[in-house]
Amino acid sequence: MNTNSVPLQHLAAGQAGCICRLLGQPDVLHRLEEFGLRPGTRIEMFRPGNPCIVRLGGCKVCLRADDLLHILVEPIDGAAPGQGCCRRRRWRGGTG
Amino acid sequence: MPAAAKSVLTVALIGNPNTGKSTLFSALAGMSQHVANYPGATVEKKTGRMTCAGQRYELIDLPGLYSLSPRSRDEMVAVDVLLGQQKGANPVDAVICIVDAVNLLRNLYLVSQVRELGLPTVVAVNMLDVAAARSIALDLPRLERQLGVPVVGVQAHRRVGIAELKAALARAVKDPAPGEETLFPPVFEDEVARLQGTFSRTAGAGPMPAFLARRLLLDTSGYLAGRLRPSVDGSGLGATVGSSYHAGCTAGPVGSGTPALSTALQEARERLRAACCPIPAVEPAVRYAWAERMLTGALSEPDRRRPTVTDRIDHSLTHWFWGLLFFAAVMLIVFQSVFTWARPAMEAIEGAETALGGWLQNHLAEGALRSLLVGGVLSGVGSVLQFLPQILILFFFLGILEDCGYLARAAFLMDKFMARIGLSGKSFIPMLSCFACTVPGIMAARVIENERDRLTTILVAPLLTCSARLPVYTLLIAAFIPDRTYCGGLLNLQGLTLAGLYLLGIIVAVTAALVLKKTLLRGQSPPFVLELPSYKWPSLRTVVQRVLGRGWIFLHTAGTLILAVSILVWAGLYYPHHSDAVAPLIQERQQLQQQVKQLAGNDSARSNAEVRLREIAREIDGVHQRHSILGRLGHFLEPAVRPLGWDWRIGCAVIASLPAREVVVATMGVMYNAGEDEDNRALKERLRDVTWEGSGKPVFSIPTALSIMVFFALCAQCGATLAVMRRETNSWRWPAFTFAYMTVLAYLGALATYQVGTWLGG
Repeated sequence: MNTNSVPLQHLAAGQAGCICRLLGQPDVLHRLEEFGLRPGTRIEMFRPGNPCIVRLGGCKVCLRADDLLHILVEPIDGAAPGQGCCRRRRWRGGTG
Repeated sequence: MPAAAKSVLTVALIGNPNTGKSTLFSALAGMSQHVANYPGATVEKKTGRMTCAGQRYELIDLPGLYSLSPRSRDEMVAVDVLLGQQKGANPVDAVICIVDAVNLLRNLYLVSQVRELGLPTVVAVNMLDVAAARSIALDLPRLERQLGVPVVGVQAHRRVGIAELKAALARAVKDPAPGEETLFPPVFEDEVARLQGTFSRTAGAGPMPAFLARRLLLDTSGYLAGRLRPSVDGSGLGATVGSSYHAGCTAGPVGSGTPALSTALQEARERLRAACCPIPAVEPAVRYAWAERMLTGALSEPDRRRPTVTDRIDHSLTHWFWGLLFFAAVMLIVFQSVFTWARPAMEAIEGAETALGGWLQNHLAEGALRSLLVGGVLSGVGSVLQFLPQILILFFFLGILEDCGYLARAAFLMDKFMARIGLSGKSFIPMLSCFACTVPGIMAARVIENERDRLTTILVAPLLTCSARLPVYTLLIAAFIPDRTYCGGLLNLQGLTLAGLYLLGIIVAVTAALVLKKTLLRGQSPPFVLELPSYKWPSLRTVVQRVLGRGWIFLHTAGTLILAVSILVWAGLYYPHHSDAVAPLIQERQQLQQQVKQLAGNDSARSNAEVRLREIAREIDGVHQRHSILGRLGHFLEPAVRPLGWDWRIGCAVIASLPAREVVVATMGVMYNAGEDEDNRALKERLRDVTWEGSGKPVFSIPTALSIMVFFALCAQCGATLAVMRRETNSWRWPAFTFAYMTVLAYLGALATYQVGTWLGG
């Protein structure tokens, strides 16, 4: 596992991170990955706390972390969205 | 093309939540909407009709969902409808998949699942205007080429692109796109093929569709396998709850299908795991990879995201202080409006009931029929209609809050508090609604998709003090609690008692929720994840349609039951209706009537006689009720209610208030010969004078009054609540359980109150 990774709760408001790992039951993880919470995705803290509000893709999501779920992220410091994510896909900057 | 040969084609509308699906449905179906429940399920079934180029379509609005993995009730129904297994829904011929332009990647996940169904599919891209405002550029023709199905841009709320969507649907039905190649790795497809063989051997039916085989492999909860068992009774709540209970383990013990099938599935999953294709994790991986391929070159997003209006609003509305303050203000306005707006309507209904009752009294001969119509049917219909204004107004406000996107923020704000009692923020609004009326509160619990949380909310909902308890409280408090003030007039003992009763309800509800989550409804809840949609202006049309739908469901399901129970209670209070006991009174009445006829209009003897006549009428009613079946039951039960400080007449009134607790006031009025009058002044005075039969000791003391109020704070004396609970849980088990546990609590609470009260009072 990447040494830079921290739990999602450690992100400050406005700070972005890249999801490195989700830890939890397979079925719970399946649901979250279907929802778009999956490794390699950029996530941005909007309102820290528990529950917290994060920005994920084009929407905001309210999340409550508990014993069942740990989200580890790799903080992206001061980088513009779309840059510096661990497995960030570049395919979207297409012709439009 | 067998689909095109049918006269009416069934089209399913599917999409993620908050994509504007309901608005698109309204735009397509117009006013021809029909809301009902799927038979045997508590999921709303919304259908509508539309015609395009001479072809008639039936539209089915499926619940908003992120995935076709059947985990929640909504998803199970959607999957069953798409697979043609849902009772009460026609097999689907085509699918319209609505996607949100702002969130395309995640929306395409569902599209990738839908396209495997092999049905003619059209993708409607909604919210293009919002995407444009966020500088998100979409190349729809390119997306259509890459997806291989028709893609139409729409703005559902402005009715833009609807004709194009209908035309694309007609084209897709006439000329379906060729089947797509699979997204899954060959090792997975080998297992799918093997499963298709196994299943046809097991069930002796034709080959299983590849879609079903894939979903069977991926559905580790065992729900689908359970549905395929030939004689499975999977429609009841028991099965629904069961499968979500065991959703955590692979190939759950509930509904695991025919042994051969479940063994085959388990073995296949084992082989796949060994081949580095873990189930179910492979699904998001391959589908998101596909979605990303589909969007390549078709979507361009700005590098830097500018804060939107929604962001700015959310900065204040999700703030721990300003957000809570705003939320409290909104709730205050909503409940104030519910009470002020509902009161005139409720008074009008009551007035109409009284007027109609008076008319019947005057135009029908005295007897069982008149009594049945007035005391049974009319009061039953009245007590059903009494709920309607509150339900409609409350759902109107909740509809607006939901449609504009605020309800999700409220759930976020309240989650911290609700998590402490083991629930999530979504339970808060339904519980708050219960302070107005438990019925809409229980109906509002549909938004909670976690089955255990929803059940817990529903089971503790009747403990929260609804407005129907107020008549009981105000009567007894005004009659028996001394009007003392403390702290220089700031605190009033009567007010404190009322507040204490509200607090009692809240404390017991919280405790009950904690206990239920630790015992009966124990189990790990899935993590609380909730999308916060962008704010938008609520659509009045959507809100009104939802309000009317809920109102109709209440009238339809609760109404009939309340009416039936009202008539039963009427019969219990009316029969056997012996005339022996009232013979002396009737004789006296006849004499007085003769007197009145002979006396002049201004004679004081005449007015005395008239007063006595009214008294006699009340006494006759009282004698009949005391000798009725319920009256005798009251006598029989007196030993049980005596420790609560009640005489048999209170016990009897409590039984008679089974359909609706506010009835207890009127019944006590008749039982104690006080009659029913405007502000119950006579009843209050009468109650103070009532003595135990055979002794001069007054029945009502402060401990007795408190004991009755505590009983009513905790009991489940409300037919409407129990009927709606049955409707929403799809079984009599839960209302029966609620009635039992609440009655026991109420009895023990009243017992403790009376015994401690008398002990303290010396």
